[in-house]
Amino acid sequence: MKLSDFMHCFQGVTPAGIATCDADGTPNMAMLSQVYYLDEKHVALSCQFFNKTRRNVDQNPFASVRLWDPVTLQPCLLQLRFLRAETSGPVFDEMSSRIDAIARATGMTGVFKLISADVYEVLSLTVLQGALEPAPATLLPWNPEPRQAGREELRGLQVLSDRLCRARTLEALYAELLASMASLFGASHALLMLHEEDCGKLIAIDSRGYDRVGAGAEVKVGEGLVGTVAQTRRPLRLSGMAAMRRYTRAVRESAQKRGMALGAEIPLPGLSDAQSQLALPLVAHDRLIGVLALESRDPLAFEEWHEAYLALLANQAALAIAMLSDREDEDDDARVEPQPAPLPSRRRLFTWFAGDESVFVDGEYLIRNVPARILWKLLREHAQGRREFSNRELRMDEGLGLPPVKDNLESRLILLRKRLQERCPDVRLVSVKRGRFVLERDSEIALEEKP
Amino acid sequence: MGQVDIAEFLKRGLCVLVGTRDASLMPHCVTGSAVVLAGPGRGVVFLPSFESAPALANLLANGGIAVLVEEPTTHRGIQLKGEAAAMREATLEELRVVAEFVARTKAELSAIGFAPTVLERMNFTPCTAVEFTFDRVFEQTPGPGAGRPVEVRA
Repeated sequence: MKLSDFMHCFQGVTPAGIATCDADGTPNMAMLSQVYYLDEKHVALSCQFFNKTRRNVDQNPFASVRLWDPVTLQPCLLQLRFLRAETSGPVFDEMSSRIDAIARATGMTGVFKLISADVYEVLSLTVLQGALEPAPATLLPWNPEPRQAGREELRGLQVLSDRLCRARTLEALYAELLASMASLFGASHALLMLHEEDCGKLIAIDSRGYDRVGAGAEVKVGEGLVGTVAQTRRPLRLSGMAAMRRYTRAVRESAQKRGMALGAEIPLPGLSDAQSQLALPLVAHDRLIGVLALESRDPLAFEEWHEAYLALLANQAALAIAMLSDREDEDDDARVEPQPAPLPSRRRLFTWFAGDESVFVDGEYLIRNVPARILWKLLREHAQGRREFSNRELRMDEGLGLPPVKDNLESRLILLRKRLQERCPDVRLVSVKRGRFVLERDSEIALEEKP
Repeated sequence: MGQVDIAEFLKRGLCVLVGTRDASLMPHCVTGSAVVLAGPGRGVVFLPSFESAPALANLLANGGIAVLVEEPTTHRGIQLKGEAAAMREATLEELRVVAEFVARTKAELSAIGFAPTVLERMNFTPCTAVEFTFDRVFEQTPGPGAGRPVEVRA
């Protein structure tokens, strides 16, 4: 029997109990929010408060930890020996990232903080027979033959890789990436955020599975799960989030009783009842392209292998995005004649607010910053009779403030299209050729400028 | 120092964990089926038979016991520390009390999402009654206050 046969127990869905004993022989019991699997012979416990457990193992290194399988509640017992407390290095960084993300998501920054990653040697593992009545046949988990399961995963990787390679535009690539998360990997809720280097933010470009696309939503680098992954450029997986919220709420109440000042509890983004999340950095040529965030209502939806496996896909997606973003525009003199505009049936009022460089439509926020400047240029020129535009001319327009290299123009246009689709579907930017598009409208357009 | 009314707290749906240790100071953690008060500074904890043998051997050898009770939905918890005084089979009346305690525990576990089909399989009996005395009670709710002594309120 191997420790890795019990990986479900290390997801933090069910808390664990730990017994220690001081040098005088007095036993002590405590609860643990999570035990971290390191390898077949080692686990790590998070030291967040320098508590009695930690003081005991400094005197007497032995510990007894009880874990429960979160699906069946089958208990098992680990007898451990404390080896060392790590305050830096990969194990510490990994655990710290996870705890920081939880802390940021629950307004516990500064209180819920890793002091050390305490590494223990596993002396023995015992499955406690007799703790459960035998399972009825209907409860036995379906366990696919491992070799076949492995083949299916490889097939999924190959299919997605193929789809990414075939995508001719960034928009198609984003759509394929998000759709494949559901169709190939069962992640029904997926959000793609792109990195805006100049403002230190991530901007939502597209999503699947949510009530609304959420294009244009922003997260600061370092903020929440997505921001933490952007900052560390390492995948981050949170399981058993209901258990995590209960645990942090208990810590929060305890801290408040002791007069500690805490920030407002920030709701986790996306699904309000998400039970597990996995966020993957998209990095190409040592540059952060964005973050792919997946959510599920299943507390065990994402396991350790998903992290490694989907990170492969994320790397490939990042390279594909970087390559398509860097491709030169292929527009030439052969202009495609757009269809004549339909007769206006209604009026849309676009307002440019110069102070914060944002555009509102009919009094509602539409977009800001660079995409807003692009839209305003298009609308003004459209008012003078132009309908067709090129990426190249946008790049040449210094007034738009695009960076000279890595301008993300294509992605900014996709974001603009998504926002128009959501907020003002009767004004559209329609591609007519690579690097060329027309502004189509079903309504009369009025423009006004405000400070 | 905070205060706790142990008798009131034990009316909640609680999970019970018991810590003991052997002669080489190797600790051992077992689950408990139930805990009841038997008077000021005295309690009875019930250990299910399927795993109680090492704990009972430890208690017979040195008596040191730590009993943690925790409410799964809130993680509120306390720990009683003291010495085992006697071990015996649970009486019929005690088994009725254990059954009520376990029903409350399972209701709590159900409230955090465990299905009835899973909870029905959990074994808490037969069990051994361990009478113990305690002279120290500690806050066990996770956070900066965990492990601090609390005063017992009658």
